[in-house]
Amino acid sequence: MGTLSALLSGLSALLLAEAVSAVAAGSSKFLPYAVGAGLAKYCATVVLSRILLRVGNLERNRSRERLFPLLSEGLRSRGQVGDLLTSADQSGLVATVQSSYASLRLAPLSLLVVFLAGGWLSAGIAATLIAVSIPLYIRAGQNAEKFGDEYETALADLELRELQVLEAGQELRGLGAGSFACDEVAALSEREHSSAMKALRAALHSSLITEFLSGVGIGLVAMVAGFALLGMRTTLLRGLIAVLFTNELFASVQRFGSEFHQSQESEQALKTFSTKRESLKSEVSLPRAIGLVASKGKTPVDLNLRTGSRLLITGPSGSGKSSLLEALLGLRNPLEGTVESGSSAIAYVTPRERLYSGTLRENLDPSGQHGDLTLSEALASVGLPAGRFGSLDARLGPNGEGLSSGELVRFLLARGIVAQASLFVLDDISGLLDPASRKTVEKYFNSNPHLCVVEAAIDSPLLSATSTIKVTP
Amino acid sequence: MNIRQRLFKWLRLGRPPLSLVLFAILRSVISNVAAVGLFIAATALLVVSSQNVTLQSIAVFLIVIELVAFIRSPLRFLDRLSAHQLGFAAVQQWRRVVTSWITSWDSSQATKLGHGEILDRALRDTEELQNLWLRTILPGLNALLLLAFSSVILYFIPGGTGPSVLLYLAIVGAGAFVVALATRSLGVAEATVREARGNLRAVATEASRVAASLRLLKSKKVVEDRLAGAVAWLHVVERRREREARIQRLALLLASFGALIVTASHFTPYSLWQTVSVLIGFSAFDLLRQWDAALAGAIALDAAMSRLEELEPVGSEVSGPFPSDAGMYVHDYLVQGIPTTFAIPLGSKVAITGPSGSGKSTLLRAIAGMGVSPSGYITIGGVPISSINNAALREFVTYVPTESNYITGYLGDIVELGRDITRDYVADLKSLGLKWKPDFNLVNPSRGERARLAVVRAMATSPAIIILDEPTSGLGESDTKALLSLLDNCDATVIFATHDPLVVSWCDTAIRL
Repeated sequence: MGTLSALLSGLSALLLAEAVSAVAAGSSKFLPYAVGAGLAKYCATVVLSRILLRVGNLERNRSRERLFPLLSEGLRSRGQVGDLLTSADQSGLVATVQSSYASLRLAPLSLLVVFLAGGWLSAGIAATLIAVSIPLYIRAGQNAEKFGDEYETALADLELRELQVLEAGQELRGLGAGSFACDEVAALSEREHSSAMKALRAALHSSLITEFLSGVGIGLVAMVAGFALLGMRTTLLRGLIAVLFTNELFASVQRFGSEFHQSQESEQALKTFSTKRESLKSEVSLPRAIGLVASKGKTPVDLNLRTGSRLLITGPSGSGKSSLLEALLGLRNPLEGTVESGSSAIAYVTPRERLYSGTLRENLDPSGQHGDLTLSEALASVGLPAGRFGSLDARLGPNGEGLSSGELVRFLLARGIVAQASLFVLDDISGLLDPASRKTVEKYFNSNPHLCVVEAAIDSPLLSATSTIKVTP
Repeated sequence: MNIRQRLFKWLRLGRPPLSLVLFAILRSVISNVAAVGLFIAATALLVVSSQNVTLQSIAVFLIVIELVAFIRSPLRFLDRLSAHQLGFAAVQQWRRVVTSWITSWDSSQATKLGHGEILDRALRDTEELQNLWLRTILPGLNALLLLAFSSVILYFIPGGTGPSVLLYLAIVGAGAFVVALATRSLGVAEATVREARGNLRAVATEASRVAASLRLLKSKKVVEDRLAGAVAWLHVVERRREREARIQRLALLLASFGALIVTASHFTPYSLWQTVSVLIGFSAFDLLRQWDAALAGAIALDAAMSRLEELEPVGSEVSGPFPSDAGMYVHDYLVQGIPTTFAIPLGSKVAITGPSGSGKSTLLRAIAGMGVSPSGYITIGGVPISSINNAALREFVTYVPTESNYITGYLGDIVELGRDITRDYVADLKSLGLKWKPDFNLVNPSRGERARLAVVRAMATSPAIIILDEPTSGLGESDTKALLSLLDNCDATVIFATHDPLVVSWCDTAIRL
């Protein structure tokens, strides 16, 4: 595609040269040449870029279809989700980038034309200037990349803060601290922009070099051709061709240069989406941990869960109970030790978990396999009266909001029951339950002794444990 | 609101310094004229050379061309830098405005959009607004100036006549007009694409929060389907937008060829000027492309701007002062269907209890003046809370939701939050077992730490009324006791939503919903 585009621009240059020399000769034949030149330029820019766009779109669509497996790999911050989506978009640029490679490969051909039309001096000037521009260009590109990383960090900081402002919007308002948040966002935005300016400056430096050299190149070749014309050593047509192809030559280098940074990004993006993650077939049904250390300075823990175990993890606030649970579930990388993930379904119940917008049914049965009876039974067994929600088709708010924290944890329990989870991991939920629902939940687990339950609690656990792990801060 | 009005509105909202604007425009015009001039002059030089004119005139030509060639790229460099600078200055201003909107929402507005969606708007849409300068106003202005510049040259070159210049202007103008018309329908398509993009981002953000636990649960079909649906919708609307761009490409093609034919048939006895004339006709293509790009930019921005406008807080600001008597009444509030009026005297400690879902949080938000009460009304010092100015209200009433956020960073910053602090919060934290100094950097505090920090932060300005939604749910018994004894030490009215029996027994009054 790039080859075709380069050939078409070459053709356009040739026809333009013909047209101009016809005008100069006072001939009226220039019009078809000029129109031809215009047509070729149109094809080279508009039509081909559209085709490239289409090819790119196919690639981008393929990447987007692989979003879910990537999203479910672990706890992802929203900034990372944004990056993933941007990567998906970027993977569509691969076609454009490849075409600029192809047009660069045709550069020697342009040089040959310059040589044939303008003689060795013109070709020499063009070749020397390109040879000079390449190392300069590469260095400038490296600088731009360095600043690019700095920019990414600044952007991530800004995203994180803005997200915190969003999540805490009501709290900030409740504390009368809105203007503080505005100042913080503005300051982080300024930092993002100043590093963006640095990266831009570096990137523009690199294009400055090629543009400057191309300007000089065209000027010099025109000069050589001009003197040759004066000395009657060449024809106007040949001179024009030499000048216009010098322009083409530099244009292809420039195009490649401007796509170069994108090329790395888009290739990286493509890699993100094309690597197949191998899902290890698990030998055990429940997760197992040996010598697990989830946060700094803790003693290694062995966790060997069995059907019917009731494990209590206890310790004061901030002692690392949640981290231990997350490591056990493979949601964070342990500092030490190994974790073997189990093959059976696990219900992870934490007040930090969110539901997604949509109906209660979709949230309660994300596999979409179970009937209403099963769902209502599951809700009833954790003491969520059917009347509270009206029907299972009641819709939750945009962030899955609409349930109080106490209801949320019980809803998550019910979701686990529906999915026939054989392990329930409860992260400090007892404080969120009112006495009546606490009893109901206790009753459910007591009447299902085969379930394995891991509970983290500060001092008033929900269940009577068969074994206990104490975590100290 | 049409595109033009909207453009002006946002230009006003994010007004960069005038000097920056003038500088950017000047640089952009100069660099564009230089770029076109170089191409025309270099070609003209060759034509002149073939006409056997004197060596002297050729030398002058050469020097001029080389000069233009030398300065062209630095000019472009400066042009782009100042355009970006201008854009960034505006973006920063816009982000400040949008953040101030977000932090003055009512509770009902806060739950209207997903966080992923708002984040997308607050950051990416504002970032895109820098194109208002970069890709719309500056290139549009350039295209117009280039058109004027070309027309003037066409008119003054030997043989140039008024009618032929008018014809050139008419053709290019008609092309520009058709492009502008077609841009409208493209605008609709573009808006849909943005909507679909935002939707995908929102769905993906939501999915990312639930994906890990659904993977553990081994049941993910609904979310997977939803993600696939969002992707499919985006694909469809992206394809539609591409189709819409066809008319524009056709208008572009026809108008640039028309311009070329007019300028080419602009016969003059001097072949040099004839050449210049043809080349000007040839550059109409680039001119129209620039115009097209500027309009496309405006369209993309219109969608971004209207999406941002949805974030504007609804309702108008009231100006009533905070009354001197901070005694509070809740009138005719429906408790289990019965209208009930109760007083919350100054300095009292009140627990609001009731089963999950009975509306404790809703009542608390209404009492805090952050949401509409579902029934009855609330007064402070005899004045309805809805008539008190928000800034004044926030000075005297603080509110903390169940899950406290905005707690990473230096302790000093996140407790003070730019407010006038009247309590020793380090001592308060210490009494709750958190021995932190103001320069302590909080990275990932646990739930219990968050809960305690949130209460200390709400007390730090010594407000008259402190409203806390389940502040002890992440705390053990001893931490809860410490928290209550800290609250004992302040004379503020404290209103809790809770079902912790320890808290309820500590309070003066308990209201059961």
